[in-house]
Amino acid sequence: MKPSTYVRWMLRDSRGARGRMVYFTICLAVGVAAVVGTAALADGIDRGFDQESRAILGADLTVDAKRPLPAELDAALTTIDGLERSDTVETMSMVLVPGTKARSRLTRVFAVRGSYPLYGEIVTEPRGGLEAHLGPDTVVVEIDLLTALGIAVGDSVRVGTQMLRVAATATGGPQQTGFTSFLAPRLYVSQEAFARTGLLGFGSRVQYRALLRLPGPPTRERIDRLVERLEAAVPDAAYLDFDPYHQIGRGRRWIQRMEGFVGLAALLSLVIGGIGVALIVRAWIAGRTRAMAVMRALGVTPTQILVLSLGHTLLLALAGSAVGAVLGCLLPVAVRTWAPSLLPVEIVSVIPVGAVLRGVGLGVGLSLAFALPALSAIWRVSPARVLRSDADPLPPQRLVQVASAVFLVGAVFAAAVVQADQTRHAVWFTGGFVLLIGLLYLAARGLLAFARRVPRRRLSPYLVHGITALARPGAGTVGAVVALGLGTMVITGIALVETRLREAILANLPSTAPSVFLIDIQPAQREAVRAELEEVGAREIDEVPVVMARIAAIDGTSVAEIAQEEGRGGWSLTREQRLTWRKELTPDNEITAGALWSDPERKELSIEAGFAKRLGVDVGSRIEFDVQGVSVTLHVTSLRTVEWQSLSLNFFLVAEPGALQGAPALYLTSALVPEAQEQVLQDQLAAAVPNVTVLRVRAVLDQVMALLERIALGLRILGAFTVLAGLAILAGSVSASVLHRRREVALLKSLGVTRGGVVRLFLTEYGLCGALAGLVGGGGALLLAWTWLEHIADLDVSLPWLALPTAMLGTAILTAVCGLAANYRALRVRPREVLR
Amino acid sequence: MSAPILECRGVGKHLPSGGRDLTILEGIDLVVPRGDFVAILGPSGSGKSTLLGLMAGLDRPSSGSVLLEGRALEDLNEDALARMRRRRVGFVFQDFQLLGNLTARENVSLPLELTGVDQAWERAGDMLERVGLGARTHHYPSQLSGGEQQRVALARAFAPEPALLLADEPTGNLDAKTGRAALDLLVGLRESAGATLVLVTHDDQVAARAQRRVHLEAGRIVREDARA
Ligand SMILES: Nc1ncnc2c1ncn2[C@@H]1O[C@H](COP(=O)(O)OP(=O)(O)OP(=O)(O)O)[C@@H](O)[C@H]1O
Ligand SMILES: [Mg+2]
Repeated sequence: MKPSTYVRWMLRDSRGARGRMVYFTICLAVGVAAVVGTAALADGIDRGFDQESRAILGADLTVDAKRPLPAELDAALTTIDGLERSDTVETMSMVLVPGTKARSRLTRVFAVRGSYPLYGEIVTEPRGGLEAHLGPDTVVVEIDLLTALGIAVGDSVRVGTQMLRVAATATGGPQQTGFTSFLAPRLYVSQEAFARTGLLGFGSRVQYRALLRLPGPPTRERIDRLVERLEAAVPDAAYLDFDPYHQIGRGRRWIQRMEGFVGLAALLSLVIGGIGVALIVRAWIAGRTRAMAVMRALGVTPTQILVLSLGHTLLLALAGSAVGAVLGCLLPVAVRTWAPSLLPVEIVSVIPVGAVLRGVGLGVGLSLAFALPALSAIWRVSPARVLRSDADPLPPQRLVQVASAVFLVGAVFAAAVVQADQTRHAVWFTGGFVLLIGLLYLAARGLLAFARRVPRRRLSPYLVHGITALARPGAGTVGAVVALGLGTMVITGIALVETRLREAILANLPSTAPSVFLIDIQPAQREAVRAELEEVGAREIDEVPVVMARIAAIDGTSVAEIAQEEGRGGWSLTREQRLTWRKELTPDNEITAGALWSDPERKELSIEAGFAKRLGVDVGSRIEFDVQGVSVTLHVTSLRTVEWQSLSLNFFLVAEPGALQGAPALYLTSALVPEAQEQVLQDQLAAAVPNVTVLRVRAVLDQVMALLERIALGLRILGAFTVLAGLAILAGSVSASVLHRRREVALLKSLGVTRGGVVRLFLTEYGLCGALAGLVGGGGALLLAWTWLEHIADLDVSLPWLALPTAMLGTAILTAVCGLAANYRALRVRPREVLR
Repeated sequence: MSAPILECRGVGKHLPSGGRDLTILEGIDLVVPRGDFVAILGPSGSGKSTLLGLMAGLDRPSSGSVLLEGRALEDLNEDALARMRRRRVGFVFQDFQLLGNLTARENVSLPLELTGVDQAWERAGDMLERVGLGARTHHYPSQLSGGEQQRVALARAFAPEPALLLADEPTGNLDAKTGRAALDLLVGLRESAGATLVLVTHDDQVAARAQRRVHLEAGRIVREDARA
């Protein structure tokens, strides 16, 4: 047969199928929109993060060191065409206004060279940027410094040994990560002027940094390659810190963890849409068996009919996916327009080609996979139907049945792999899907068996007829129960996960989180600091010692050697580490391996599990530290997880008390200070212990809160999507049965059943279907929610069993109402229709 | 003389029914030479439709063999059977069996398009003209009367010029007058096309026009007679 004939027949075939096509499109479009929308949103957020991280760094990549950057690095950098570079030397220093009543303020002094920063902007007042205002004896400062010192632009301040004139104020600019970036105002100075201040000579903490910007698009791969190249170029590069933009960004980790979940939840909408598709195709094939029998009697082969029907399905799938893709693309736009605060960063708008391809691919693939088992019924249409309308269908072909089922499960799994961030999750997803369908199928068969055996006596005839109607041939009870159950599961499951997660997030938001950190307290100052804190009414005061150290060797192998190994350590190996010692861990720590301070013979170390993984160490490993020139060996005897959200003082590395005896330690204190007292505390500490830096983190805390609340809101939106998909299915599985309802109603009426009687009949039938689906689906939802919360989100939660009866009742009512609504027209049918 | 177009050799059809074996047809031996007009008669439930289905390969016999132009149908799979029907066999049914979502002309042109003949559309139009429905080509079956529908069905059956035509009580659903007209048309078309016709009916008057009459009763051929 010619392809053009196929096309012609296909078009003719779609006559009178408009309702079906609309429903097919809706089912699929909701799912595809969810997939495309979330993928586009995630993509946009990712790009937004990239942009934000570059602005935070002021560069694509920064290279830091505690000593001047080596000449080898400079040489390696000059070989790269088009690379932009800017340098800063940064130190903390007191800046003062000499006078009768000396005023001073701890300040971050930045000596800059080149056009700083390379991304983002420092806005000066008067205008012109840093370059216009920095001269041999001028500085540009942040307005906070002027206020703190009580001076204005044009006045002079003392920086180190030099008096320098304030030429302008500055706002904006890179905000380096780490605590020292907060609160201390910044002062910018040219490198020549800085050299004269003598601040370099004090042996104080100085940070040398090169900011780099690549020509062309700075993809993550290019940055990583650049880092490798630079590391290779500098001998003993271990003391260099590389910060690529894609490894920083507040909340990024959280979002990435959410993406896998969100992806699977979106897929769930699509799978549900797929079930809708399967139902429609089945109803369609069932409605066309007579026509197919005629066609076969006329000599059309079953294969040709299959090709025709597949082509039909494919067309509908493409149409539905296209509609869904368009809707999905609008999601980021809609979110940005109507709820910009929902997203942690400004989304970058591009047409999400990847997301669209993924959505359309999954949409078309899954609808074919879901249609296939239904389409395979075509093989069973007996041409003998043209002679006897009740001719038995041909025997099922086991191979075709098994193959189409296997194909379906395979397709769902493949889609899950695409959507999940871990194959493990895809396996769970597919397994859960198959399990639940199996359960629903069995439950539906059970219902049918019951319906056939329902006792006829002593029950109202309407009830009996309603129940037995479930078992009548072609009632589609099994399909409806499976679809309704899945819909219920998704809606209930998402609702459960969402509320639990929100509760967990909000509960984790610590009312006890500290609002100030006091850094670099010398042992002799501890008493004084504590006294000041108590005076301002601080609570939750926690003080820990901090020892700075570098890892020298792990299990006898030097760090330089380990750094060569693929995939191990990276930057975490060579950074200067902060260690503390503690006798007992705070409650936000949980031991996951080994036992705390369990070996009386050795000096022990407890490592945060994730960090241990990065280092490639485990319980039993031996780590040799270089503690400011002195070698100390510690044995790892426990691993632990930390709830960082609590924001309390936590360390990757905690040593046994006494293990670091004699090491030079400074103290770090955190406390919750009433907001109104924070300024008082800061002023008093500045007078009493001027070397102590006060960090006020209330702003950070607020940011974290805001982020978590946004995540909770995002979950809500996603939930809405799946609810929509579930409702589409619900409406669809009900309306799939509506077609042959008209004749039935007409017949019942001609037999004398009143309209009210028909309503009662339908209520019984739909209500039973809904209740059963609600029960199994609700159970599945509890299982799903529990699995996800317990194993993926790592939250300890108790599940509300009340959800089960709620789901059951809710689904029963909703199904009954939908059923009646869908049959509204059929209910009004006149009995004479039975004659036609 | 060439091989008979259709041959049944000991054809039987049994169906398992409630544990027992239900015999619908038993030991049917029948040879239909090319160009013949054979009528199959018998009371309701005697197995006439079943036999016709077996002859067309719509159904498979439980025993025996049906040969169409010398080829045993049981050796063919569903696709091959369909291809066979498409080229060699035309059908007319008691309840017309038109495709409801196709117009009259589309119904007629479908088998032509299937075999890939040239100008299927034009030939379908001509065919409808011949059965007197030239003005109704764009109507859907639901817009046509029973007699008109049966004429469309006749046009569809004859359009591909099949060698064998099978008709199962083509007038059963029509009133006497319309039925007679449809039958005249059928017989006339057959004669001008020179096709073989096997016609199931329980109307003796109709059967009288056939060259041979085969009488079925309870699944067996009880009598065969030829026109004088
Ligand atoms: N698939 C089937 N299942 C059960 N019984 C069947 C089946 N097919 C045919 N029969 C039975 O076989 C017998 C013959 O049926 P068939 O349709 O061939 O009769 P017929 O001679 O065409 O009758 P009529 O003149 O009423 O059309 C009938 O008793 C019928 O009930
Ligand atoms: Mg019959």
